[in-house]
Amino acid sequence: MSTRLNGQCMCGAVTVKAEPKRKSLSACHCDMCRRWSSGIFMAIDTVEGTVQVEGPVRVFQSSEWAERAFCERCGSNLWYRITAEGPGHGQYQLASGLFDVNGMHLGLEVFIDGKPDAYAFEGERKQMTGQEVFDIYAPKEEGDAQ
Amino acid sequence: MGERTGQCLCGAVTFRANVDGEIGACHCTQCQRWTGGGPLITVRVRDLKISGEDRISTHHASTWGERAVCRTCGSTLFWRMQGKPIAYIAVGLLDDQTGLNVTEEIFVDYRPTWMPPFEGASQSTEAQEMAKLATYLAEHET
Repeated sequence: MSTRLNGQCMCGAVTVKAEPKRKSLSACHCDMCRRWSSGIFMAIDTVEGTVQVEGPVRVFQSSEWAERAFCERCGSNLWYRITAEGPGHGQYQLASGLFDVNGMHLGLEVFIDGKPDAYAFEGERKQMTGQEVFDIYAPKEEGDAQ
Repeated sequence: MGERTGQCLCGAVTFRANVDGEIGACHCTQCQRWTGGGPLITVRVRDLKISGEDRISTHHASTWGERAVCRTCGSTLFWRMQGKPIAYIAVGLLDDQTGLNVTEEIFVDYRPTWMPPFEGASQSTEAQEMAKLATYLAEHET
């Protein structure tokens, strides 16, 4: 997919350009995304080296392996990015709300075992548990990734 | 539902409040951009006691609303009418969401085409919500 995305945060102070890796989005229900985004963090996986950001960004190291960024002015969630060495290192998972992505579809829900019973999307799609996600991203020799 | 506790991602802002069981989800364009894709999912709170207020950053994206985040971690905290008490708080902040249910989705005409509705939630459009807002603002005009 070569469509380039042009987006901005709620107040417009931060602008983001990127090339999405695929034509689908993912929804994360993990505890950290839940607290951060009011519920579900909707992400767009991006092609490495294609993300351009301008504006007042504040970065928060939310775990030993990843950071989360937001607009310093309006507080819009901007991205989740793995900072640890290994699979996915440096890759931006951009907040879908920054862009008009109506041509895409919701293809995946991750940390489905962390989703509260309070809500559920209608329909069916691929779902992964937290352990299935950790099995992909966390080197097995490090033991308990959590 | 009784008293519940909650905190932002980094723990700088904590609170306790009585919550009722009903959760609302807002799909307006501002909430989408603000929360990373939306919707903004909030629960009604009463007797809110909040700490870490010096870590709260607020922003006015309209002439009536105020949005607040934690200035350390960027967690979405609440939306409220400017100058009014905090009536709704981001549900994701709660330590325990047992027994809660999304009952209402608003600004559904702005919901992205790729996002499915929540199971069992009522659906309200921008026109319906703006009519409610106009009534509220007329009643509270000073």
